[in-house]
Amino acid sequence: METQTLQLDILTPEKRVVSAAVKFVAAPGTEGEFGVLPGHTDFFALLKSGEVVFEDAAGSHHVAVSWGYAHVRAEAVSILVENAEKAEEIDVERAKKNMEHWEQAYAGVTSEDPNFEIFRAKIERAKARIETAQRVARR
Amino acid sequence: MAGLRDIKRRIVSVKSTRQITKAMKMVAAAKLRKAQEAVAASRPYAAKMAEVIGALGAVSQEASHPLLLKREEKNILILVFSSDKGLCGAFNANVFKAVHNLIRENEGKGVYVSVIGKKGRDFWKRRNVIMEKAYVDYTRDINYQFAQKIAKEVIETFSLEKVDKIFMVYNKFRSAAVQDPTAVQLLPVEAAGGKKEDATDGDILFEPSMQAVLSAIVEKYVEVQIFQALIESWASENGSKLVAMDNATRNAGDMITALTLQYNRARQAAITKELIEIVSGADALKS
Repeated sequence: METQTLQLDILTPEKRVVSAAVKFVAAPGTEGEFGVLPGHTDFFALLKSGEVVFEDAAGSHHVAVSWGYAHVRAEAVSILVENAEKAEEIDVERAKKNMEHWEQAYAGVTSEDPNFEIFRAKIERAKARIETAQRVARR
Repeated sequence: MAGLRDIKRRIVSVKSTRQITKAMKMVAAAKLRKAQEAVAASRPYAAKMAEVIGALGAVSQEASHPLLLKREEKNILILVFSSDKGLCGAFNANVFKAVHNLIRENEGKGVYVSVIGKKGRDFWKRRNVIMEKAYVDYTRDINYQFAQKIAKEVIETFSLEKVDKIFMVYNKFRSAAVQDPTAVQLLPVEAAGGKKEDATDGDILFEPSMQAVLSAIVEKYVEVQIFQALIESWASENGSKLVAMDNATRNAGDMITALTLQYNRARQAAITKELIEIVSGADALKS
């Protein structure tokens, strides 16, 4: 039996960011972006920093997410991430400053440094936030 | 009158104590509300996580992960959640009692403890256990990053086979007046396998692979459990403090009433005594 909408939950340890009935979800998997429509087969995917897009009755929404994973079922999608911010709530100035800060830190270390991966993840996260916010602002 | 002044002084001192406990009670109430919100907000994530782990455990019996493996238990580590500050009733004592029980149950094994909170550190320093790590002055940064830090160190201790089993002991928050000291096993992770309908359809797709998903999620699960314990403990601490300070305020009030009564009696006695002296003095002159 196919359902018409998906129950989408975007959760972080600190709060529930999104809980909505949606028609379509796209998420940034580590192996590439994927889309989910109602009736999708059971599916687990790791996510990287990027943008989750979903469409509900009111139109499409963008949410910047950091590392996490998605659990997809026929009638529901649960996205569990460390951080999630709705595009409308992103402070671009702050994100930009953040990115500069981490880029400087990143430039100063070699790939053997234990912080190397952390810095790169920080930059990616900041980039995802900026891009998400800008894409929404352009419209 | 010296006695009178002493009583007066005590009344003033008890009154100022009452003011302090009243203020602390108010602060605890405000913090409690914040903590309760944090607990409520994090529960969906934690619940979802437990569900996912359960589902994964059901389909991945053969896919092992180092953090899922049971080993012979030679050494155990107990993660104790206490508070940084005192004046919160039996909050810390309850946790320590639960830890003692746990140690008794695991007699014969090497016991390590890692404590969170100054009170726990000071208490376990003097006990016959090995202190692995102490995290103090944490109250300001109760956030997910802090839980991640603890999780990382705990996982490392486990992976190096320094300990073979890890427990968490913390006050689970029921209400402001009721907290349950709880002991849960943290590692090896017990995937509550074979759960409900998820188990039947074994053809779940994984991206990039089951192993990768599993290892990412298991570590995350440990973090989430620690985070959950941390905020539950924080909420309990403030609940316990609220009740303790409420009692203290009430006791101070009772004490003030008693002291005021005593003061009035003493004053009356002094007046009576003076009157008698005047009257008898006058009588002596008359005769």
